Amino acid sequence: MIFWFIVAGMTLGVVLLLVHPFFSSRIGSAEARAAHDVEVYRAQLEELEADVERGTLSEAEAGSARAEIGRRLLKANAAAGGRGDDEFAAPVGRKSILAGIAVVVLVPAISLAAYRHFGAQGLPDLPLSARAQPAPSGGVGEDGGIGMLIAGAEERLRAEPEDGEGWAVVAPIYLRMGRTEDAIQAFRNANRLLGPNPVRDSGLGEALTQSAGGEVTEEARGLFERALQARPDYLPARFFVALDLSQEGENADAAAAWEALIEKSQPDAPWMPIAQSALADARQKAGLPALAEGTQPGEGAQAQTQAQAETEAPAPAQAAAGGSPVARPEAQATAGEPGPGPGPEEIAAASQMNAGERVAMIEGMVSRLAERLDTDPNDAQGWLRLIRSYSVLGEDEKAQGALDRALGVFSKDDTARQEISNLGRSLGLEAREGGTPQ
Amino acid sequence: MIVELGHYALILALAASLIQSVVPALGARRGDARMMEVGQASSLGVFLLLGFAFSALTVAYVNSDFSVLNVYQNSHSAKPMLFKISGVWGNHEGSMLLWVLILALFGALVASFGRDLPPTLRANVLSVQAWILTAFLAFILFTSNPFTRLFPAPFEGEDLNPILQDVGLAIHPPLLYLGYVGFSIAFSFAVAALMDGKIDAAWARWVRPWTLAAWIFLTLGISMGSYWAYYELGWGGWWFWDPVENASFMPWLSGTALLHSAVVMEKRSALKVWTILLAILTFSLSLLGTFLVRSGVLTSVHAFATDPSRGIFILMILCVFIGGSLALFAFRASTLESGGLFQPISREGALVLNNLFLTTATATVLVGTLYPLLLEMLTGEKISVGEPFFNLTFAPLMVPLLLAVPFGPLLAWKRGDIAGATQRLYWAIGAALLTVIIALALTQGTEVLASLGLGLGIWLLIGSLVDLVERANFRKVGLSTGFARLKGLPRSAFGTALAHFGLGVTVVGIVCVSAFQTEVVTTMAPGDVRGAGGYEIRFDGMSERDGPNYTEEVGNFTVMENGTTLGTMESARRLYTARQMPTTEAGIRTHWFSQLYLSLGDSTANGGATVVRIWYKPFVTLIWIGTIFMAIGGVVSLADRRLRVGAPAARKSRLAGAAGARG
Repeated sequence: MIFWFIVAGMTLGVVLLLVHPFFSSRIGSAEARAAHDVEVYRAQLEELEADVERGTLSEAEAGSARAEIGRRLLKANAAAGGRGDDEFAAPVGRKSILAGIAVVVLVPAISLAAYRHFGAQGLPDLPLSARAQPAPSGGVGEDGGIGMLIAGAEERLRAEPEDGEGWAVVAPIYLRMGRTEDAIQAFRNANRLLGPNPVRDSGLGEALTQSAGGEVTEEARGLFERALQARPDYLPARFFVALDLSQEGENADAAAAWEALIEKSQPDAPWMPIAQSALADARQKAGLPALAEGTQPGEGAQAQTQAQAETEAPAPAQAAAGGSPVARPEAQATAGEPGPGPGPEEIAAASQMNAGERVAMIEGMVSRLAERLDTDPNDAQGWLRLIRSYSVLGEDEKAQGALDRALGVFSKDDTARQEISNLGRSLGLEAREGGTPQ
Repeated sequence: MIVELGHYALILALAASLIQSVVPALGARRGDARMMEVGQASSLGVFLLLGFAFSALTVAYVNSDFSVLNVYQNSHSAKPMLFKISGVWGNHEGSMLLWVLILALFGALVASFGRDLPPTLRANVLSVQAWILTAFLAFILFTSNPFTRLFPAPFEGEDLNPILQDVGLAIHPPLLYLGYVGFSIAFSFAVAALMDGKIDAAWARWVRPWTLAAWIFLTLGISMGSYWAYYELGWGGWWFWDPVENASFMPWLSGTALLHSAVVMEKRSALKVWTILLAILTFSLSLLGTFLVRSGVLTSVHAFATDPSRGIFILMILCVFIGGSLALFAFRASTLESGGLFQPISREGALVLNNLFLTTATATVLVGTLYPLLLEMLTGEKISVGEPFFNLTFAPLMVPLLLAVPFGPLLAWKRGDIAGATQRLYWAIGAALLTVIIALALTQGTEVLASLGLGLGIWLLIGSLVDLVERANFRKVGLSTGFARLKGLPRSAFGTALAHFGLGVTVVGIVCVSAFQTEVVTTMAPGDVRGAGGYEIRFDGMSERDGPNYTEEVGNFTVMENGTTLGTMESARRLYTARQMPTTEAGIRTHWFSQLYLSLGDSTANGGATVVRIWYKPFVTLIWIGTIFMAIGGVVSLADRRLRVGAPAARKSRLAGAAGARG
């Protein structure tokens, strides 16, 4: 509120400053400009005499200069005396009233409209000193938590840049925060100081992949392979190797790699949906028969691509800021036919996406799942997946909402309900009585 | 809240300058004193608003408020306070804010000290200033808003490029901007005169001090930028004909021409139309410089400012202002009254000669800067127009100009006496010839060009002082009266002599470095000794050292002369750990005006030995010392209050005080 008072005060001040000439009685008729010229030439003549006195100008030179200035003076004098139309009248004319009104109307209108467009109205300052304390509430605090840890670690690393363990700690956090370049640097530093390690190799490979816009680069592929040599069961590395094979179009190998990955993964591993559709895609392209539980690319894909296009734009900024993504209703509105997973086009698109776009695609998939559960709520596995997805995306509120609704769907003695509330507990969500049918 | 208020102040300033663009100019057309008065009030208001906006941004930097995107991108909480503050203009958005702040400052100065100008001229000038201001404020708001907020706020900032964290870079941009933007006043006066179709008698008298002030700042800004590049980049050169350097050098050349033609206009009412054109061209070149640096057309050290959408916006501003003002000139120049006549051999003639050479030189630099860009745009072919081009074109243009410099002040106005002037320059001619002969003898005739160059330098040094000595007339009136007369001379005479003397100093420096510097690139193992410029340099080995945010490998050297140790020198390779960004720190040892300059190359594979570049640069510092002389000359000339007052006598004292304050 006080902000708007000050804004109003500033605006009023400027308006008053600009209109005061229209009310001032001090403004008399302005001097005619020819009279001005006369003054100038007089001053020049005086200066000339002073030069002669100082001896810097000989009398002969001064004579001709005097004559010349005199001629100009006479001309200006004639102009000053002869024409009165150069005199300016002081009375406030209709036109100047109009100008005054224009000032009073335009200045506040322009500035307020422009500020509404460009400004973050009344957003408080957030100096470092204010942010160093635990924030009372809101998003600043959440981000401040990790941020503060990172800042502390960075401080230490500045003092001791050869602390490999420090680099190893911050590197994956950078990667999750979307600070890809910092992550690459940190992983490299850690590897340089501590020697390679499969988890770090794979992390660096992932960071390089993100930095290359989703393309698994030569260097990244090498790193994943080195990680797998040291630890063949390290699944994230396998995922990216398989992704690279898909990207390179080595479809038979890709299909085998995806299949192996799926076999070794937990059914709820975060990469499963992508892996499954990538497998289907690879099989199809390699000319292998489709699997029984294969995907249905056709009808869903087009709508999805459209939904994706709608969601793409605002996503990168959020991902980059590490903030919590917000679900976009348009995405749900356009996704007409809920597809069970990404189609081949999407996977192909995903491999060329940057981190932010990929988040957008995942969000699209999640919102389609949510929509499906709206129409068909009796799907316990679906609810479990939805709650977990929201939680992974950092949208705790939505996870809570989904949990509440899921608990409302299943009766108390249902094993599904038990499973759901167990998941909720393990994710730190609370089972609210409102959603529980007693 | 301060940040948002600063943002609002910026927007309010835009609204006020929109009003100021229209109302005073309309008032001047209609003869309405009240509408014209709005310009005064508005210029002061806009300056206060932008001052507040700039302070708000500075507060955000000082408090490390990373909820402001610009602060987050360019600052870091651990940065020393000086670099937090210099970080405000160490980036694109902040530097544009500084740009408009300085523009508003000049507008406010005209409004406060311009009470004695004819009211219509003043109103038009303020409106034209407001056009420029409006264009750049819109540019800031639409493409480079420094007040964009970031929410949630990150905890730590991304820091400023380490190479820009330097005291030199804290001062260089403000100086350069004061220069660039200062020429906007000359531009506004020129356009105002064209709008009126009349040049008032007070016109030149008003334009000259503003041009001079802008020229002083630009001189110092360029000089400082050159010295920074010399010691920070570690390439051992002091001028690279880099497009960004040229972008600031072109307004300087044409500004120098403007300065001289404004003198003719002030004293003799001649060259009016030409001066107006020069004023327009000079500011246009400043705008072009801003465009080249800010648009991303160029990739160089200044690449922090690249963004195509910004480039297009500035290009539009450029086209409107340059095209508009030149079109106005084409339409209205014929209505302007041309001034007094003069003989070819006269002070005016000498100044015309100066103008011809300087504008041709400007055009040369312009071609050398833009041609590669155009060629690349049209054909995709990349060519590099470097030193050889400028040595072949720019240097030959400068020689006759420099030869003519000492004659100028000795020629009388209207009709001069070249024989008489030559006679008075006998001493200078003699000294210059003697220098050439001695230099030839010392170099055994191998350095003909350099000897001639040195002669030229001495000719300038002595020739620029001849005018003062002659006017004091020591020979006839004796020493004491002579000094009394010297004291009585107008300050502008001293200003001229100092500036021309400074030019001579710079020329001597340039010639000495270009001809007599020695460069050794060699591999040195610890204990090795190499000679350079009469010194012996012993490499004592490398050591490692940690700085606040970098580690460095320092090469330690001992400097000896004929076996006696003079001291030690260091040169380092720095690695900014977090960014893994290497920089070199040149080792520089100054002995009188000469410098020994060491720069480290790579270490050899087996360790211990390292590649070292050793330069001996005789009289190199004279290059920059000369520019300081030029600037002091400008200040002295600015302090000369004679004929500066084109005003009713009653108000003379106030304005005189103002002129003094500017000096």
